[in-house]
Amino acid sequence: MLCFEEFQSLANFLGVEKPNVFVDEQWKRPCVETSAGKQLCGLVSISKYLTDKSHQRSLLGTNIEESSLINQWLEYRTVYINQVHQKSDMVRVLEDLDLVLQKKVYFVGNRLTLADISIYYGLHRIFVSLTFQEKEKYLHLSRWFNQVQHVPEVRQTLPVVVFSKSRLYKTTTL
Amino acid sequence: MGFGDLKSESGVKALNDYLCDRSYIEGYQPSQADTVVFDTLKNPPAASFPHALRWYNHIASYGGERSNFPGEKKDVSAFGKTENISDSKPNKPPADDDDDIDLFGSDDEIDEEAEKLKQERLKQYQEKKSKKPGPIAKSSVVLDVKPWDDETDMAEMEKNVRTIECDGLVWGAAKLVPLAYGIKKLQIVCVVEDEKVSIDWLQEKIEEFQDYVQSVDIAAFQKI
Repeated sequence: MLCFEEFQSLANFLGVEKPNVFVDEQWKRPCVETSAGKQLCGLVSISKYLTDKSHQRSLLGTNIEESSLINQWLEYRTVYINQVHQKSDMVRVLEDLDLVLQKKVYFVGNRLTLADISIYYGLHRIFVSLTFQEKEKYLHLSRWFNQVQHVPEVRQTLPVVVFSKSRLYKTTTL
Repeated sequence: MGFGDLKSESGVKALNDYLCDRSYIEGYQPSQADTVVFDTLKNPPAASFPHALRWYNHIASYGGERSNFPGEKKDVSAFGKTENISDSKPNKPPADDDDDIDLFGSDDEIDEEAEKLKQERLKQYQEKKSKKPGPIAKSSVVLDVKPWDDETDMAEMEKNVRTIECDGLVWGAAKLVPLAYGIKKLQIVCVVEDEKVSIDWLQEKIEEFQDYVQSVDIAAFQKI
Protein backbone atom coordinates (compact mmCIF):
# COMPACT_ATOMS: atom_id res chain seq x y z
CA MET A 1 0.00 0.00 0.00
CA LEU A 2 1.37 3.33 -0.95
CA CYS A 3 1.84 5.68 1.93
CA PHE A 4 -0.41 8.23 0.22
CA GLU A 5 -3.34 5.83 0.20
CA GLU A 6 -2.54 4.73 3.71
CA PHE A 7 -2.78 8.30 5.03
CA GLN A 8 -6.03 8.82 3.15
CA SER A 9 -7.49 5.63 4.64
CA LEU A 10 -6.23 6.47 8.09
CA ALA A 11 -7.67 9.98 7.94
CA ASN A 12 -10.93 8.51 6.73
CA PHE A 13 -10.98 6.05 9.60
CA LEU A 14 -10.16 8.74 12.16
CA GLY A 15 -12.66 11.15 10.71
CA VAL A 16 -10.14 13.92 10.24
CA GLU A 17 -9.54 16.05 7.18
CA LYS A 18 -7.51 14.25 4.55
CA PRO A 19 -3.92 15.39 4.74
CA ASN A 20 -2.18 16.89 1.77
CA VAL A 21 0.73 14.47 1.51
CA PHE A 22 3.77 15.35 -0.55
CA VAL A 23 7.19 13.79 -0.90
CA ASP A 24 10.19 15.50 0.56
CA GLU A 25 12.74 16.14 -2.20
CA GLN A 26 15.83 15.44 -0.19
CA TRP A 27 14.89 12.33 1.79
CA LYS A 28 12.10 10.95 -0.36
CA ARG A 29 9.78 10.55 2.58
CA PRO A 30 6.14 11.51 2.95
CA CYS A 31 5.44 14.90 4.51
CA VAL A 32 2.37 16.88 5.49
CA GLU A 33 1.82 20.43 6.54
CA THR A 34 0.32 20.65 10.01
CA SER A 35 -2.38 23.08 10.99
CA ALA A 36 0.31 25.12 12.74
CA GLY A 37 1.96 25.56 9.34
CA LYS A 38 4.89 23.35 10.14
CA GLN A 39 6.20 20.46 8.09
CA LEU A 40 5.90 16.98 9.49
CA CYS A 41 7.69 14.08 7.83
CA GLY A 42 7.71 10.32 8.16
CA LEU A 43 5.15 7.56 8.43
CA VAL A 44 5.09 7.22 12.21
CA SER A 45 4.96 10.91 13.00
CA ILE A 46 2.21 11.61 10.49
CA SER A 47 0.14 8.61 11.67
CA LYS A 48 0.45 9.74 15.26
CA TYR A 49 -0.24 13.35 14.41
CA LEU A 50 -3.44 12.43 12.57
CA THR A 51 -4.59 10.18 15.40
CA ASP A 52 -3.82 12.78 18.02
CA LYS A 53 -5.87 15.33 16.11
CA SER A 54 -8.90 13.03 15.90
CA HIS A 55 -11.53 12.11 18.48
CA GLN A 56 -10.04 8.65 18.79
CA ARG A 57 -6.97 9.43 20.81
CA SER A 58 -7.39 6.19 22.72
CA LEU A 59 -5.92 4.52 19.62
CA LEU A 60 -2.59 5.89 20.86
CA GLY A 61 -3.01 4.09 24.17
CA THR A 62 -4.71 5.10 27.38
CA ASN A 63 -1.71 4.78 29.63
CA ILE A 64 2.05 5.13 29.40
CA GLU A 65 2.64 1.41 29.01
CA GLU A 66 0.23 1.14 26.13
CA SER A 67 1.48 4.16 24.28
CA SER A 68 5.08 3.03 24.67
CA LEU A 69 4.19 -0.37 23.22
CA ILE A 70 2.33 1.28 20.37
CA ASN A 71 5.39 3.36 19.62
CA GLN A 72 7.46 0.23 19.55
CA TRP A 73 5.12 -1.45 17.05
CA LEU A 74 5.03 1.60 14.82
CA GLU A 75 8.81 1.48 14.81
CA TYR A 76 8.72 -2.22 13.99
CA ARG A 77 6.45 -1.40 11.10
CA THR A 78 8.89 1.03 9.52
CA VAL A 79 12.08 -0.79 10.39
CA TYR A 80 11.05 -4.37 9.56
CA ILE A 81 7.75 -4.65 7.74
CA ASN A 82 8.42 -1.85 5.30
CA GLN A 83 11.85 -3.27 4.58
CA VAL A 84 10.63 -6.67 3.43
CA HIS A 85 12.20 -7.16 0.04
CA GLN A 86 13.04 -10.85 0.01
CA LYS A 87 11.30 -14.02 0.98
CA SER A 88 13.68 -14.47 3.93
CA ASP A 89 12.77 -11.02 5.33
CA MET A 90 9.14 -11.86 4.94
CA VAL A 91 9.39 -15.19 6.73
CA ARG A 92 11.19 -13.57 9.65
CA VAL A 93 8.59 -10.82 10.04
CA LEU A 94 5.70 -13.25 9.78
CA GLU A 95 7.23 -15.63 12.28
CA ASP A 96 7.94 -12.82 14.74
CA LEU A 97 4.45 -11.41 14.57
CA ASP A 98 2.85 -14.85 14.72
CA LEU A 99 4.70 -15.57 17.92
CA VAL A 100 3.61 -12.28 19.46
CA LEU A 101 -0.04 -12.94 18.69
CA GLN A 102 0.01 -16.44 20.09
CA LYS A 103 -1.47 -15.31 23.39
CA LYS A 104 -3.06 -12.06 22.35
CA VAL A 105 -5.94 -10.93 20.25
CA TYR A 106 -4.49 -7.52 19.46
CA PHE A 107 -0.93 -6.23 19.52
CA VAL A 108 -1.40 -3.81 22.37
CA GLY A 109 -3.87 -4.18 25.23
CA ASN A 110 -7.15 -5.85 24.53
CA ARG A 111 -8.50 -3.61 21.82
CA LEU A 112 -7.73 -2.24 18.40
CA THR A 113 -5.02 0.42 18.48
CA LEU A 114 -2.96 2.38 15.99
CA ALA A 115 -0.39 -0.42 16.18
CA ASP A 116 -2.86 -2.91 14.69
CA ILE A 117 -4.01 -0.49 12.03
CA SER A 118 -0.51 0.44 10.96
CA ILE A 119 0.74 -3.15 10.90
CA TYR A 120 -2.36 -4.21 8.98
CA TYR A 121 -1.70 -1.59 6.31
CA GLY A 122 1.93 -2.62 6.17
CA LEU A 123 1.25 -6.34 6.00
CA HIS A 124 -1.53 -6.21 3.46
CA ARG A 125 0.76 -6.27 0.45
CA ILE A 126 2.54 -9.29 1.93
CA PHE A 127 -0.63 -11.16 2.81
CA VAL A 128 -2.17 -10.91 -0.63
CA SER A 129 0.83 -12.79 -2.01
CA LEU A 130 0.64 -15.68 0.47
CA THR A 131 -0.84 -19.05 -0.41
CA PHE A 132 -3.53 -20.64 1.76
CA GLN A 133 -0.93 -23.04 3.02
CA GLU A 134 1.39 -20.26 4.15
CA LYS A 135 -1.46 -18.37 5.73
CA GLU A 136 -2.38 -21.42 7.74
CA LYS A 137 1.21 -21.77 8.87
CA TYR A 138 0.99 -18.34 10.52
CA LEU A 139 -2.26 -19.25 12.21
CA HIS A 140 -2.21 -16.62 14.96
CA LEU A 141 -1.20 -13.82 12.65
CA SER A 142 -3.83 -14.88 10.13
CA ARG A 143 -6.49 -14.90 12.81
CA TRP A 144 -5.49 -11.39 13.82
CA PHE A 145 -5.36 -10.21 10.22
CA ASN A 146 -8.79 -11.62 9.52
CA GLN A 147 -10.09 -9.94 12.66
CA VAL A 148 -8.70 -6.53 11.71
CA GLN A 149 -9.80 -6.69 8.07
CA HIS A 150 -13.35 -7.31 9.25
CA VAL A 151 -13.49 -3.85 10.73
CA PRO A 152 -14.79 -2.11 7.61
CA GLU A 153 -13.58 1.30 8.74
CA VAL A 154 -10.03 -0.01 8.76
CA ARG A 155 -10.06 -2.04 5.58
CA GLN A 156 -11.89 0.53 3.43
CA THR A 157 -10.90 0.00 -0.19
CA LEU A 158 -8.31 -2.72 0.36
CA PRO A 159 -9.25 -6.11 -1.04
CA VAL A 160 -10.28 -8.77 1.47
CA VAL A 161 -7.69 -11.47 1.97
CA VAL A 162 -9.38 -14.83 1.97
CA PHE A 163 -8.51 -17.35 4.65
CA SER A 164 -9.61 -20.89 4.36
CA LYS A 165 -8.95 -23.76 6.65
CA SER A 166 -9.07 -26.41 4.03
CA ARG A 167 -7.28 -29.65 3.49
CA LEU A 168 -7.13 -29.01 -0.23
CA TYR A 169 -5.01 -26.18 -1.45
CA LYS A 170 -6.01 -24.53 -4.64
CA THR A 171 -3.02 -22.29 -5.01
CA THR A 172 -0.09 -24.31 -3.88
CA THR A 173 3.03 -22.85 -5.33
CA LEU A 174 5.49 -24.13 -2.79
CA MET B 1 -24.55 -28.94 19.45
CA GLY B 2 -22.15 -26.59 21.14
CA PHE B 3 -18.90 -27.51 22.73
CA GLY B 4 -20.26 -30.31 24.81
CA ASP B 5 -19.58 -30.13 28.49
CA LEU B 6 -17.34 -27.10 28.94
CA LYS B 7 -16.38 -28.28 32.38
CA SER B 8 -14.84 -31.40 30.96
CA GLU B 9 -11.55 -31.54 29.13
CA SER B 10 -13.15 -32.56 25.84
CA GLY B 11 -15.40 -29.52 25.93
CA VAL B 12 -12.49 -27.18 26.49
CA LYS B 13 -10.61 -28.92 23.71
CA ALA B 14 -13.54 -28.37 21.37
CA LEU B 15 -13.59 -24.71 22.38
CA ASN B 16 -9.84 -24.50 21.84
CA ASP B 17 -10.11 -25.98 18.35
CA TYR B 18 -12.98 -23.71 17.51
CA LEU B 19 -11.07 -20.60 18.59
CA CYS B 20 -7.80 -21.42 16.85
CA ASP B 21 -8.65 -19.17 13.91
CA ARG B 22 -11.20 -16.96 15.61
CA SER B 23 -10.91 -14.07 18.01
CA TYR B 24 -14.51 -14.20 19.18
CA ILE B 25 -17.18 -16.87 19.42
CA GLU B 26 -19.38 -15.11 16.92
CA GLY B 27 -18.34 -12.67 14.23
CA TYR B 28 -15.59 -10.11 14.66
CA GLN B 29 -16.54 -8.34 17.85
CA PRO B 30 -17.34 -9.34 21.42
CA SER B 31 -20.96 -10.35 21.81
CA GLN B 32 -23.28 -12.06 24.25
CA ALA B 33 -22.06 -15.31 22.75
CA ASP B 34 -18.68 -14.66 24.36
CA THR B 35 -20.29 -13.74 27.65
CA VAL B 36 -22.40 -16.91 27.77
CA VAL B 37 -19.50 -19.21 26.95
CA PHE B 38 -17.22 -17.28 29.31
CA ASP B 39 -19.66 -17.58 32.18
CA THR B 40 -20.11 -21.28 31.54
CA LEU B 41 -16.38 -21.81 31.92
CA LYS B 42 -15.77 -21.51 35.61
CA ASN B 43 -12.01 -21.60 35.48
CA PRO B 44 -9.52 -20.34 32.93
CA PRO B 45 -8.62 -23.05 30.41
CA ALA B 46 -5.38 -24.88 31.05
CA ALA B 47 -2.21 -23.69 29.34
CA SER B 48 -2.39 -26.71 27.06
CA PHE B 49 -5.33 -25.03 25.34
CA PRO B 50 -3.64 -21.83 24.15
CA HIS B 51 -6.43 -20.60 21.89
CA ALA B 52 -9.10 -21.00 24.51
CA LEU B 53 -6.85 -19.36 27.09
CA ARG B 54 -6.08 -16.42 24.83
CA TRP B 55 -9.77 -15.90 24.22
CA TYR B 56 -10.53 -16.30 27.95
CA ASN B 57 -7.97 -13.67 28.92
CA HIS B 58 -9.21 -11.34 26.22
CA ILE B 59 -12.82 -11.60 27.33
CA ALA B 60 -11.79 -11.36 30.99
CA SER B 61 -10.13 -8.02 30.23
CA TYR B 62 -13.52 -6.48 29.55
CA GLY B 63 -14.57 -6.99 33.18
CA GLY B 64 -18.06 -5.76 33.94
CA GLU B 65 -18.55 -4.57 30.36
CA ARG B 66 -19.23 -8.17 29.47
CA SER B 67 -22.89 -7.93 30.39
CA ASN B 68 -23.30 -5.04 27.97
CA PHE B 69 -21.95 -6.79 24.88
CA PRO B 70 -24.28 -6.62 21.89
CA GLY B 71 -26.23 -9.60 20.69
CA GLU B 72 -28.73 -11.95 22.22
CA LYS B 73 -28.13 -14.25 25.09
CA LYS B 74 -28.60 -17.80 23.87
CA ASP B 75 -28.06 -21.12 25.46
CA VAL B 76 -24.45 -22.13 25.46
CA SER B 77 -25.20 -25.14 23.28
CA ALA B 78 -26.21 -22.83 20.41
CA PHE B 79 -22.63 -21.72 19.85
CA GLY B 80 -19.66 -23.34 18.27
CA LYS B 81 -19.80 -26.03 15.69
CA THR B 82 -23.06 -27.75 14.98
CA GLU B 83 -21.59 -31.23 15.22
CA ASN B 84 -21.85 -33.14 18.43
CA ILE B 85 -18.46 -34.06 19.73
CA SER B 86 -18.53 -36.86 22.20
CA ASP B 87 -15.71 -38.42 24.09
CA SER B 88 -16.06 -41.55 22.00
CA LYS B 89 -14.39 -39.94 18.99
CA PRO B 90 -11.81 -37.58 20.39
CA ASN B 91 -9.42 -38.00 17.47
CA LYS B 92 -11.67 -36.37 14.98
CA PRO B 93 -10.69 -32.73 14.48
CA PRO B 94 -13.98 -31.29 15.59
CA ALA B 95 -14.17 -27.79 14.30
CA ASP B 96 -12.89 -28.46 10.83
CA ASP B 97 -15.81 -29.69 8.79
CA ASP B 98 -18.29 -27.09 9.78
CA ASP B 99 -15.69 -24.42 9.94
CA ASP B 100 -14.96 -25.05 6.33
CA ILE B 101 -18.55 -24.73 5.39
CA ASP B 102 -18.83 -21.50 7.34
CA LEU B 103 -15.74 -19.98 5.89
CA PHE B 104 -16.46 -21.08 2.38
CA GLY B 105 -20.00 -19.87 2.73
CA SER B 106 -19.02 -16.33 3.46
CA ASP B 107 -16.14 -16.40 1.01
CA ASP B 108 -18.36 -17.68 -1.73
CA GLU B 109 -20.69 -14.78 -1.26
CA ILE B 110 -17.88 -12.35 -1.74
CA ASP B 111 -16.57 -14.29 -4.69
CA GLU B 112 -19.97 -14.49 -6.27
CA GLU B 113 -20.48 -10.79 -5.91
CA ALA B 114 -17.08 -10.06 -7.33
CA GLU B 115 -17.71 -12.53 -10.12
CA LYS B 116 -21.04 -10.92 -10.92
CA LEU B 117 -19.46 -7.49 -10.99
CA LYS B 118 -16.72 -8.80 -13.23
CA GLN B 119 -19.22 -10.34 -15.60
CA GLU B 120 -21.18 -7.13 -15.76
CA ARG B 121 -18.08 -5.12 -16.51
CA LEU B 122 -17.04 -7.63 -19.13
CA LYS B 123 -20.45 -7.41 -20.74
CA GLN B 124 -20.36 -3.64 -20.74
CA TYR B 125 -16.92 -3.70 -22.24
CA GLN B 126 -17.95 -6.11 -24.96
CA GLU B 127 -21.01 -4.07 -25.80
CA LYS B 128 -18.86 -1.00 -26.09
CA LYS B 129 -16.37 -2.88 -28.17
CA SER B 130 -18.98 -4.25 -30.54
CA LYS B 131 -20.48 -0.81 -31.09
CA LYS B 132 -17.14 0.58 -32.13
CA PRO B 133 -16.62 -0.29 -35.81
CA GLY B 134 -12.87 -0.63 -35.55
CA PRO B 135 -10.49 -0.70 -38.50
CA ILE B 136 -11.30 -3.31 -41.15
CA ALA B 137 -8.41 -5.62 -41.81
CA LYS B 138 -7.67 -5.81 -45.51
CA SER B 139 -5.08 -7.62 -47.54
CA SER B 140 -3.68 -6.94 -50.96
CA VAL B 141 -3.09 -10.20 -52.80
CA VAL B 142 -1.29 -10.84 -56.08
CA LEU B 143 -2.43 -14.07 -57.68
CA ASP B 144 -0.62 -16.00 -60.41
CA VAL B 145 -3.11 -17.76 -62.63
CA LYS B 146 -1.44 -20.28 -64.96
CA PRO B 147 -3.03 -21.54 -68.13
CA TRP B 148 -2.79 -25.06 -69.60
CA ASP B 149 -0.80 -24.12 -72.68
CA ASP B 150 0.05 -21.34 -75.09
CA GLU B 151 -3.27 -21.76 -76.86
CA THR B 152 -5.35 -20.74 -73.88
CA ASP B 153 -7.25 -17.52 -74.47
CA MET B 154 -5.75 -15.29 -71.82
CA ALA B 155 -8.27 -12.47 -72.36
CA GLU B 156 -11.15 -14.86 -71.86
CA MET B 157 -9.46 -16.25 -68.75
CA GLU B 158 -9.10 -12.81 -67.22
CA LYS B 159 -12.72 -12.07 -67.99
CA ASN B 160 -13.76 -15.26 -66.25
CA VAL B 161 -11.66 -14.55 -63.20
CA ARG B 162 -13.18 -11.10 -62.94
CA THR B 163 -16.67 -12.58 -62.89
CA ILE B 164 -16.02 -13.82 -59.37
CA GLU B 165 -17.73 -11.27 -57.22
CA CYS B 166 -18.46 -11.15 -53.57
CA ASP B 167 -18.73 -8.72 -50.69
CA GLY B 168 -15.33 -7.44 -49.66
CA LEU B 169 -13.52 -8.43 -52.84
CA VAL B 170 -12.17 -5.83 -55.27
CA TRP B 171 -10.21 -6.76 -58.37
CA GLY B 172 -7.28 -4.61 -59.38
CA ALA B 173 -4.94 -4.39 -62.33
CA ALA B 174 -3.88 -7.47 -64.25
CA LYS B 175 -1.00 -8.15 -66.59
CA LEU B 176 0.40 -11.02 -68.59
CA VAL B 177 3.82 -12.25 -67.61
CA PRO B 178 5.68 -14.50 -70.05
CA LEU B 179 6.75 -17.82 -68.55
CA ALA B 180 8.41 -19.99 -71.21
CA TYR B 181 7.79 -21.39 -74.68
CA GLY B 182 5.34 -18.61 -75.36
CA ILE B 183 3.20 -19.49 -72.37
CA LYS B 184 2.10 -16.51 -70.33
CA LYS B 185 0.60 -16.39 -66.90
CA LEU B 186 -1.98 -13.92 -65.69
CA GLN B 187 -0.90 -11.86 -62.74
CA ILE B 188 -3.87 -10.17 -61.13
CA VAL B 189 -4.13 -7.95 -58.06
CA CYS B 190 -7.07 -8.01 -55.71
CA VAL B 191 -7.89 -6.42 -52.38
CA VAL B 192 -9.87 -8.52 -49.91
CA GLU B 193 -11.36 -7.84 -46.49
CA ASP B 194 -9.86 -10.54 -44.32
CA GLU B 195 -13.05 -11.23 -42.42
CA LYS B 196 -15.27 -11.58 -45.45
CA VAL B 197 -13.15 -13.30 -48.08
CA SER B 198 -10.94 -16.31 -47.65
CA ILE B 199 -8.04 -16.61 -50.07
CA ASP B 200 -8.44 -20.38 -50.18
CA TRP B 201 -12.01 -19.96 -51.28
CA LEU B 202 -10.91 -17.49 -53.94
CA GLN B 203 -8.25 -19.84 -55.26
CA GLU B 204 -10.75 -22.69 -55.48
CA LYS B 205 -13.20 -20.44 -57.29
CA ILE B 206 -10.62 -19.51 -59.91
CA GLU B 207 -9.52 -23.11 -60.36
CA GLU B 208 -13.13 -23.98 -61.14
CA PHE B 209 -12.58 -22.45 -64.61
CA GLN B 210 -10.96 -25.72 -65.60
CA ASP B 211 -11.09 -24.94 -69.30
CA TYR B 212 -8.59 -22.14 -68.88
CA VAL B 213 -6.92 -22.45 -65.51
CA GLN B 214 -4.32 -25.02 -64.65
CA SER B 215 -3.32 -23.67 -61.24
CA VAL B 216 -3.48 -20.64 -59.02
CA ASP B 217 -0.68 -19.46 -56.75
CA ILE B 218 -0.33 -16.59 -54.38
CA ALA B 219 2.53 -14.45 -55.64
CA ALA B 220 2.36 -11.84 -52.93
CA PHE B 221 0.28 -11.26 -49.85
CA GLN B 222 0.30 -8.03 -47.96
CA LYS B 223 -1.72 -6.72 -45.05
CA ILE B 224 -2.93 -3.22 -45.53
